[in-house]
Amino acid sequence: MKLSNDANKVLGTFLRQYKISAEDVNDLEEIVSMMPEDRRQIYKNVESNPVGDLFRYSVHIRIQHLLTFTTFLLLAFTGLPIHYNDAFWAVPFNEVLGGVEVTRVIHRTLAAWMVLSMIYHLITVIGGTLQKMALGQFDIARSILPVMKDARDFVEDMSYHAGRSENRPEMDKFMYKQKIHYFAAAFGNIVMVVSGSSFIFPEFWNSVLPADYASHFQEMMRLSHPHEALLALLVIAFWHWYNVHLAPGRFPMQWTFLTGKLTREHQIEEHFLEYLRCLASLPEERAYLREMLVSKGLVSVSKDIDARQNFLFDQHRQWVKEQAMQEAGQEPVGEEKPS
Amino acid sequence: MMSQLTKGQKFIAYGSLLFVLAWTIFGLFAIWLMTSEG
Repeated sequence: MKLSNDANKVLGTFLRQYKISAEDVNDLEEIVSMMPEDRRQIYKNVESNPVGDLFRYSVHIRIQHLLTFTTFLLLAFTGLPIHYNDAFWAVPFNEVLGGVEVTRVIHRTLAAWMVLSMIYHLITVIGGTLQKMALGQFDIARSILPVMKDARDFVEDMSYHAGRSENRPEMDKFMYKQKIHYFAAAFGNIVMVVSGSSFIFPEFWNSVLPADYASHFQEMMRLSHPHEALLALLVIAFWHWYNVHLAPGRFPMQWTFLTGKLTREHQIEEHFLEYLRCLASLPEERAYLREMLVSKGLVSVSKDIDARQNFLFDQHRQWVKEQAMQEAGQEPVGEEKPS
Repeated sequence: MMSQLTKGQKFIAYGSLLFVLAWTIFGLFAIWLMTSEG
């Protein structure tokens, strides 16, 4: 396989940031040269464990997701009988809990847990990013932050879904759809926390806002809280749950939120650039892929040509050599770098 | 090629699926409530 410019960039950065050894790079170069150009040939033939093959989310992220979805579902379930407290179905529901005041206390307690989960998430992502920066391992392309490539991926993916291209774009650890979903959820959470807090602490908001705006703000918050809740409920039910339960390849359930792992098939199809990083860092994954390509007769026929075209491996070997010489206190020899 | 789920895994996966489908009905109910509010 001839690596694309995006793959060259991502892999080149990863090899340097994680100081991948020359031996591993030789092995990686060989496996890349064996891979067929058509990525569908790879993800349609690999073996996948539905519970997950390749690590993706830490235990912190999984706990945060668990906290967020349990509090979200219960907040929606208790929020409706508070908002419609005089409806025929809400009256008995509130009575079972001890009255609408009790439902309100439960709702606010759950909201506090949701806020805690948000704080926990912020600590994890900010702390994790700072840690990676300190280690020289941060790569914006691998993060949830939107980059221009996402817009390109979106156009290319639509083209694929419209049947105009044969392969999906080479997407990174987080694809455009996940980034939209993540920031929509972040925005929704902020709206819910701000509007919810205006019900519990109206004096605080009155004291920080100009007098002319304070009452309008309260009215706006009263409108936005239930409507943002409904929007969130619809997004979760008809978008998120489709993507993780019903979408082809995910049915009956994607296990990542429990195991923290993604299936190999899914990783190669939707997060190919991250899969290349897995190949670079996991010798056992390279061994598996080599065995699969050979046993199924999928080894690229243009192997020799492609291997020479992936200059990034030569560049990295040169870089490893220079690093070793610098560590030994010697000046790097002026070898001509491949262009 | 996806390998088969074990019985226990099937129970969890289909149980979760049933749960989210039930919640989707709840979502539809919520839409009805909002739109019939007037």
